[in-house]
Amino acid sequence: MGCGFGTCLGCALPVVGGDENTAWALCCTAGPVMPLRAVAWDELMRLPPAHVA
Amino acid sequence: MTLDLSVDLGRGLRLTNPVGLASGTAGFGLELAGLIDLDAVGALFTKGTTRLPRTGNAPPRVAETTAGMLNSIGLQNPGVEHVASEYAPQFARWGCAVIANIAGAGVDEYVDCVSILDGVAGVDGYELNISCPNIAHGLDLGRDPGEAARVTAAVRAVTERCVIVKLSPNVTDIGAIASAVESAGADAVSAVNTYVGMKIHRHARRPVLPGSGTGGLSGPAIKPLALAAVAAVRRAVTIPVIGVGGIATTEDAVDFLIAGADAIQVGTATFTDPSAAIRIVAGVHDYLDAAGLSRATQLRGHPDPTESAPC
Repeated sequence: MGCGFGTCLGCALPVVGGDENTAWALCCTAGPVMPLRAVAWDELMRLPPAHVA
Repeated sequence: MTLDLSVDLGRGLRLTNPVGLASGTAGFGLELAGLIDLDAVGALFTKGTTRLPRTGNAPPRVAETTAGMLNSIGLQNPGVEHVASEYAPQFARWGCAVIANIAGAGVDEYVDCVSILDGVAGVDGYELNISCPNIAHGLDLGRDPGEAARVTAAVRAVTERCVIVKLSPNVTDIGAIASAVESAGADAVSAVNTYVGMKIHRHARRPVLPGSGTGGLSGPAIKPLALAAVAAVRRAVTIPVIGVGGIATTEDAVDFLIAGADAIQVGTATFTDPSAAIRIVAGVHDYLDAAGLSRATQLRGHPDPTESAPC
């Protein structure tokens, strides 16, 4: 997460029912707790891991 | 002595002070408006705006690096018509100047975006982003002096508002690009956009960021690089220069003013402290006051080693 208040658009997550204009929800403003079924899990799990140990 | 912090960027665009919020770090101001007093900054440079909505790049989009960060957002934005109809009425309520950052795949897209915004109240000027490193061909117009001049002249022909060109540091001779856009009618230049960089995911043995694996490097890590670029641009042009790159404190801002900037932008620092820009406004005022100066441009030093410099 870059800013934590919705301006950097860095924490985008794929959501169910998103169209071309609403493909992502921002984890910082729409989450971090989100309805289980709102998250597009298949797409999310296909994304590469972001964190480096 | 009266201290005057205002900055004239040309075409009637006068900022109340030399501190702006950099494009891509302040959204369209709506999120920040609840956190800080936008009347206190000189200008807000919007997120890069394109003709049509863009969903942006797939995550992960940001990665932390030493004293900085990489981003590859991919110009996610709701499109210029949404900005004109939904956001601009909000812009008009804030005391700061709002400068629309415009991006495009070609000259026509820049002209279309500016034409759509040109009659819209609340938008005070344009910053042409010819330097986005995170979309295909995003840097094409910014790496060639002829192409940079072509897009500048085309936009110049359709607006009387202030046109600022945001330069890429990912070039061999940034002064040549700056000089070309000045000749083509730019009122000011911003220097610099992010530097192309990469972070490696050691366990996965590939870059952290997807696609090409590269992103734009920002934050304190690039400040010395950005200062050198601003000094080079200052030598190349007579129009106002807006310095940007790793500014997080008053001292950072003063360094850019000494190097030849007329104004500055605070970018990545806003992510860790949304009020960083406002603290810097007060800090620059106090610094000038303590130095007995009445205008920020009086700080300008001698960054050109061929000029006589105090030892």
